[in-house]
Amino acid sequence: MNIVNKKLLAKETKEEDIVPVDMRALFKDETEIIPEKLVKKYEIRMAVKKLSHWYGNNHVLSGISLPIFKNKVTAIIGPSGCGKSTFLRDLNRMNDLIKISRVRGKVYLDGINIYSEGIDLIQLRKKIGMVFQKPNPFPMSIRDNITYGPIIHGINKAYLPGLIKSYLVKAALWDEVHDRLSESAFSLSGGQQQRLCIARALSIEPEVILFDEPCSALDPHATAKIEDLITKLKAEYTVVIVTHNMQQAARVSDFTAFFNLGELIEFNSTRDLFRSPIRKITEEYISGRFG
Amino acid sequence: MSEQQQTSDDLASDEETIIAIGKQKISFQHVVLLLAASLSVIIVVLVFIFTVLEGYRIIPEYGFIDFLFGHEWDSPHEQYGILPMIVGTILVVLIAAVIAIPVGTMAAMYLSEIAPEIVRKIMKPIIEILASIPSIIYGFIGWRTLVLFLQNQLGFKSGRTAFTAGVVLSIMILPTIITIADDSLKAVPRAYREGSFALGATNWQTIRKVVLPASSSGLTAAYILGFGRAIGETMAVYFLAGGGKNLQWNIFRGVDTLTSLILKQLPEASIGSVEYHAIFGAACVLFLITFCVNLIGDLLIRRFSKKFRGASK
Repeated sequence: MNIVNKKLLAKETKEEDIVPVDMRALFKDETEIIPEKLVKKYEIRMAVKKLSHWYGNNHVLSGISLPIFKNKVTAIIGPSGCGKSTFLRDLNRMNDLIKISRVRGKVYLDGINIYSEGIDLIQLRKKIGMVFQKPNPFPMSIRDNITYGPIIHGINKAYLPGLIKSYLVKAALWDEVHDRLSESAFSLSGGQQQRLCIARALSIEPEVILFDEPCSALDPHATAKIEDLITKLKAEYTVVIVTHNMQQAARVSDFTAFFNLGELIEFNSTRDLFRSPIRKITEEYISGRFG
Repeated sequence: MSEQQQTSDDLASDEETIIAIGKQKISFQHVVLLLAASLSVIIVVLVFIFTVLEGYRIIPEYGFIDFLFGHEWDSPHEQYGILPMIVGTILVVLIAAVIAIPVGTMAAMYLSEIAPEIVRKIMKPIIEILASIPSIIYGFIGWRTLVLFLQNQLGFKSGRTAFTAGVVLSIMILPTIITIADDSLKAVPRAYREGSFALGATNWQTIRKVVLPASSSGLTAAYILGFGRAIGETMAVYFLAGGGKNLQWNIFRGVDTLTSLILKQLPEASIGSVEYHAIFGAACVLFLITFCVNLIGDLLIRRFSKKFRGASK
């Protein structure tokens, strides 16, 4: 399904007029921060161009440009309050729920700007799933948590039993819960709840998954399981993960973007960024001298 | 002073002694404040004792079954069955509930989920004012409008019916239902809504499938506390329900409720008579019903808030 909804377009605009842009070209003038060789080498799934964000008069993001590569894990790191969560929530327009939000700039998904007119938020969020900081299963049974998404999108109910299993298997939770699907999701441990939320996010067949500090409320053992899962997911999905844990970024991600005070300071492959950061402030942050 | 010295001596001499350092001396002021605080508790207990002491005598004098399930209250013939009044109460309260529950829930859904902040800020205090209008005014306006409408436009012999009282009562309990239902919807954590929106749900799907089920016990509490208010209501019902001390189930005829029975009969009954005791017996039944209803409502609210404290950890 296309994220552009004809019904939401102004009368004079036609669906055919909305032509995907070449996302590689967007980064031609950004080579100072975005390494040219990466843009040339990897396929881009999403592209953020000069994105600024305000909450009321509070300027939280200024002029962020960043490519998100297909079937890779991109980590966003930075000190608290640097705008990394806001950035993530701009990628599937979750910030639309916060009334005082204002954005300027563009976010492209497959070349289509998701902030242009005619964008169907339902289809957009169906393509870009999200997992939150605190596990937030619905107050329903484990089964109903998984089937919620497919049902609201009108799936044929005959497929549901098979789907429940396949998503729980993907989220590495099936073995632990297969005999108690009717129990409340709250009967699970924190780590299990978070994996249930991942299974729930998978249930709408997204193409991109956003993780907003998914392990910050979990113990090391549960964290290891989620990280393991994220590395597996990139085979099928494009992943963006916000984390305040640099070791986690180093472990799970292919690319890392370092944010500070609402600006993108540095972006590179994770290996290069951690081994040889270009900016002094990046080095200070990843070596733990501030943040 | 000497006491303190003694303690420090004790401490020095015996290291095992436990001293209650948190213990305060009770002062005169404490006693006064305690009395003020106890006043309402004492009154509740006294009212309860008084009602029960007068009311229980109807059992030996008239018989428990005859009293509770008797089909007729007829003072001249010394018939004191309160079943017609219990049925009358149920009819009136059910009519009120059938109207107030859907309207109240929808209003709360609008206020909590859809209304812009400014609309909410204006509407909520106005709805709360509804609760502070004296019930006699509801009774009077209900009589001027609904009763006369039924009589003059629809040709009822008397417009004072269970239906009339139920309709007016439903408006009277709306503020209770809306306020508590709105609070319980608002208490549903934002994380649930975000989780739902992130799956591509619309606002309406989120309200219907996540927010409403999540607040179900809070909503039930709202309904039950609305019930409690409706059962205890007297003046408006006295004005509008007409009256009927024989058992019947027609909502378009006059009924008496437990409260209107007490209001009507108490001035006429001589103190210490069987009727007097029967009236207090009816009061006991009313007491018991409202007590249970409020208890259930409170328990549900407690369970509701506990549920979300558990969920948000």
